[in-house]
Amino acid sequence: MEDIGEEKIRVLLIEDEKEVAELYKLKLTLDGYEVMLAEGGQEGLDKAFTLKPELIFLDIKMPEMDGFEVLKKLREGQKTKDIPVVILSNFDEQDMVEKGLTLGANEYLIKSQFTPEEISRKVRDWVQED
Amino acid sequence: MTSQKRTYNKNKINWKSRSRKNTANVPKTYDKLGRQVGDRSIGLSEVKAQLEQESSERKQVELELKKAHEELEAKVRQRTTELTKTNKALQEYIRERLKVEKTLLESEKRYRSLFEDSPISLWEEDFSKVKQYFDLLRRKGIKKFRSYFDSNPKAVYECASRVKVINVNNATLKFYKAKNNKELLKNLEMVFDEESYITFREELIALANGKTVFEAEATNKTLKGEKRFVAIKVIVSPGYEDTLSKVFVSIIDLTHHKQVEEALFTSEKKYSTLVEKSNDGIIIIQDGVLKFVNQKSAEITGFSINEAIGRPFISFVSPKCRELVLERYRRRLNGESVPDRYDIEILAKDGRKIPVEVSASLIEHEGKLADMAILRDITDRKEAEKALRDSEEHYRTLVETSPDAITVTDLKGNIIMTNKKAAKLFGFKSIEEISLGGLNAFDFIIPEERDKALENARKTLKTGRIKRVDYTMVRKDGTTFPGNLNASLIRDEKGKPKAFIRIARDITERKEAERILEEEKNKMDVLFKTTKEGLALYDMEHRVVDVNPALKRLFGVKRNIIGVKREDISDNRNKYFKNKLDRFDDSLKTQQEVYSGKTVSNVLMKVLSKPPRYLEGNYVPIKRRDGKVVGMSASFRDVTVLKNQAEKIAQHLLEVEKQKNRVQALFENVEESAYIFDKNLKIISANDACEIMVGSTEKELIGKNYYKSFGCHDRNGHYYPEFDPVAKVVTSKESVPYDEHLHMNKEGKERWVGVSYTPFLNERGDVEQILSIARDITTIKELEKSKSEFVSLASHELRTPLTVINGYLSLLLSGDLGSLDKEQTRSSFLAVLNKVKHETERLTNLVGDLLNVSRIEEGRLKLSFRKVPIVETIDEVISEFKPMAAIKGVRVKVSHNISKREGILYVMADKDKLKQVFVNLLDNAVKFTESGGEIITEYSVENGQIFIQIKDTGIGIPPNMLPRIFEKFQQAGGSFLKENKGTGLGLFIVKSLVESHKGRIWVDSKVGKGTTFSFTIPLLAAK
Repeated sequence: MEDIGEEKIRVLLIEDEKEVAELYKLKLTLDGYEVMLAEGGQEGLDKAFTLKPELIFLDIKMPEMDGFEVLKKLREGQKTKDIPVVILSNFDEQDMVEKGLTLGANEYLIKSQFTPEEISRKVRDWVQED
Repeated sequence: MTSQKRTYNKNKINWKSRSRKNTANVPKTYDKLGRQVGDRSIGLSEVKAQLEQESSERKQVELELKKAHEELEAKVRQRTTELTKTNKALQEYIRERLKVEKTLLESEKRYRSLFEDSPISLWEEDFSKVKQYFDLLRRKGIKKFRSYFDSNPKAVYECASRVKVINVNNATLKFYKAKNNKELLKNLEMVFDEESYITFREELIALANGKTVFEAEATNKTLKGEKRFVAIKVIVSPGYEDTLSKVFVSIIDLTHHKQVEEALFTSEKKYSTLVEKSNDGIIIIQDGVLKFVNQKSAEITGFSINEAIGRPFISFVSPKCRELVLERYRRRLNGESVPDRYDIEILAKDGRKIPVEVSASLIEHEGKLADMAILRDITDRKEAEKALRDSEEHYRTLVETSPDAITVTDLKGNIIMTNKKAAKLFGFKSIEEISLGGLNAFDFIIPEERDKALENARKTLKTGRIKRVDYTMVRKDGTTFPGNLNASLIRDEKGKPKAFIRIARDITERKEAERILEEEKNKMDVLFKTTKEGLALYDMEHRVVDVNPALKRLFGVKRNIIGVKREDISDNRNKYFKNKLDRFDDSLKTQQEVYSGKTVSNVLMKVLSKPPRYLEGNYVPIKRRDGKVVGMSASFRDVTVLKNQAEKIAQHLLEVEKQKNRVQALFENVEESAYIFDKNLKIISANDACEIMVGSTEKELIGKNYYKSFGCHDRNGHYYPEFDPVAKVVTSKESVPYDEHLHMNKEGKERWVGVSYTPFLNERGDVEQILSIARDITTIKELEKSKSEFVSLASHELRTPLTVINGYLSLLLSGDLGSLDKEQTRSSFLAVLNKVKHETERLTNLVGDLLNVSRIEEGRLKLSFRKVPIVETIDEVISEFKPMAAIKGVRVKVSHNISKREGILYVMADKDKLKQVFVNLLDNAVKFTESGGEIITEYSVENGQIFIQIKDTGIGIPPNMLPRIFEKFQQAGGSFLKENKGTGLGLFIVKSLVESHKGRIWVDSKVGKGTTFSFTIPLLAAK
């Protein structure tokens, strides 16, 4: 899977749960993506604006600024409004899902129902198609 | 019909010959029948003779009366003279007494001589002991002296004995036949007889009531025992009113006066009886006015005796007679001879003119000349005379104008008189044609029936009357018709038969009617036999005349009852009826009522057959034309079905009523708000719970719109914009079992309400009213919300370690992490497995906490309380915890001020749970404290409690989070979405556990400085 010489696809992972972040970073890195990690909402926003990732994985339950607020701001920002955002959360309530999609998320995934492999595949789905 | 028109030519010939022959036989008079048919002059003379006879009888009575009256007059005159004499004497006495009384008041000295010399009996008496007696009675509470003395004759005697006679004058000695003063200077008893006490009682009552003068007529007796009538006057001497110690009594002898009066009274009584009982009015006129009037005169005139006496007599005379009367009155008084008997008219009180016969005579009345007149009401006589004059004419008119055909014949049937109707009936042109024809009444009957007619005439002669005999009658032209004849016999004054009056009627129509009735009856007979209604006819003696088959069937009649008396049937029902019969009335009373002319309806009877049947009876009297009851008809209807239905309905209604009451009670008492409103949403009824929910009383709610009153609305304030449950109920006619909505109460607070709607249908099946039952579910809603939030958070928390575990396991399995065989990958495998283990532990803790929370919330957390030494337990926990804290680089310190001398402090606790409280709090403290920080556990005894504080130097809790810190999943740091390392349930569990140990827990915190958790546990009293 390693494409030497080619520039790596950059993925921003906004996730405060350390263990979860490490798991996904491990897999995505193994799959050859450049993974940028943000442990909170504000950090994630900042990194999204400066590092311009090609895909953002966004957690919802975070201290200080939750995922919905981050998403809202991403969609408001000129530079970030077109970046695909995949929400990764363990909340499966319908109104949360709807809220996420309404705010402009491209997909809403329940973490515990997906393997790291499946999560990683989402990058290909949203970025490498074209 | 043709037979009735048959012609009898033979008779036609006979008419004329008879007519000539009989002309001479028309009689002219009928003496006693004068009033009906007779000659006027004869009738009049007869009456006159009778009147004259009566008149002479009356004269006799008057003579007797006059004689009696004259005798009486003489007596009265004599007595009157005597009475006048005594009156004069009395007047003098009274004058004398007045003089004495006057003087008495003027001067004591003059009084003395006057007293002694007065011709009147005078007494001086001392009543002071009587006065004392009165005072005694008053002290006893007696206020009504009249009733007291009336009911206590002994008290009267007592008082009489208490009177002390002080002085009497000479006249007194003489009057009472006393020899000297001493005989009288005692008390009053020696001059009192039984009657005296009656007057004395009155005197006492007067004195007791404060009167100072008393006057009365009384009886006394002399010392010799002779009875004396006296007029007494008692005067309390002026100045002695308070003591009554000097009372002055004057006595006048009335004995002679009384005797005269009594004698007069007796003789007058005799006389007046005669006068009063007279059937004639008797009056006495003197000086032109009425001096005396007896009862009969009063009756005639309508004036009462009192009204009449004293009035000018002429005002009682009718104006047209006044001149005559006055003239005769004057002439009679002048001694001239005038007719003493004449008829005049007098005026009654009501203005009627009454004819009277007057006989007047001159008498002496009270010493003067007077006119006594005897009046006799001759109205009847005058009327009789007038009637007599009118009667023949009247009779003739009667006969002539009668709607009946009347013929008067002699005993042989020769026609004396007839009327137009008769002429017409028998085909004549005029009355004259018959009268002049000299016809015989038998000629009007067909020859075949003449023997029958003769026979009936003989019967009439015997019995005086024969009624409604049917004949075939013949007209002048020989045609016939069915007729009916009534005949009566007329007798002369000696009772000898004189003539017949015959009234004939054409009964063609009646005959026809009878035929029709007969036909009807035949038709009815079929009905009688076939109707389902039981019918019975009874005669006058209550005997069964007929019953129809239906009746026999209804009553189960088992033997003949025709001709049996109803009473007998009633007494022996089992003899006549197959089944027992219960009547819900008094059979005999019902019968009595019917036979007295009333209809009795709806009498209920129960035939005790299997199954029982109910009959309803109606009893109707059968009346003759004159109203006399001659029988009874009874009809009976089987009302079993009706009755059963009625019973079922009644039962049902009762059930409904009970149900209604139950529902009403339920309606009033349920906690839920219950409304009843119509389909236009107008509230009809609301229970008490409504008041609580919406804040308006039932009174305020009634008539209001249900939705508006209830405050039902959506988030935009619309009343049921999308779903109108009432409209659904109305259209579907089915209930809406549950609907939730927001409503605003009176204070504008938003509440969640769960409502059910039930329609009440009317008899057409349309919705008439709707019952809504509403329950405030706000709390339930809130609970539901927090529950679902809790579940949402709990599952999120559970999924997080699972995500990590699953993720690493899948990486391991997929070979992403390389092969287990390879040495170089083994270390990364170990790292992954450690992570998995860590997450598994986290999961285990979480599940444990969730279970505890669940137990706590459901009250299922079981604690086993024991006596626990608290200080030792704290030391234990701290020493166990120290190594863990050390790993993170946090120091743990303990500080307390409890000396060993205080002995061991115990608490009642579940030791494991108590340790968990410490562990959780210490865990938290470590978690939020940076490496190098410090945790201090302090404890002390305060107010019988152990007071423990766990202080950290951690990040602190923002003030807005502090109030919710002990709630589930409410860790400090922001919204519920904020991450932290714990389960988020620890503090909730801690608080619950402290509280189950009867302790309290609270928190103080400053951001950046640290947090202190404080809690207390009650100590067991040291022993």
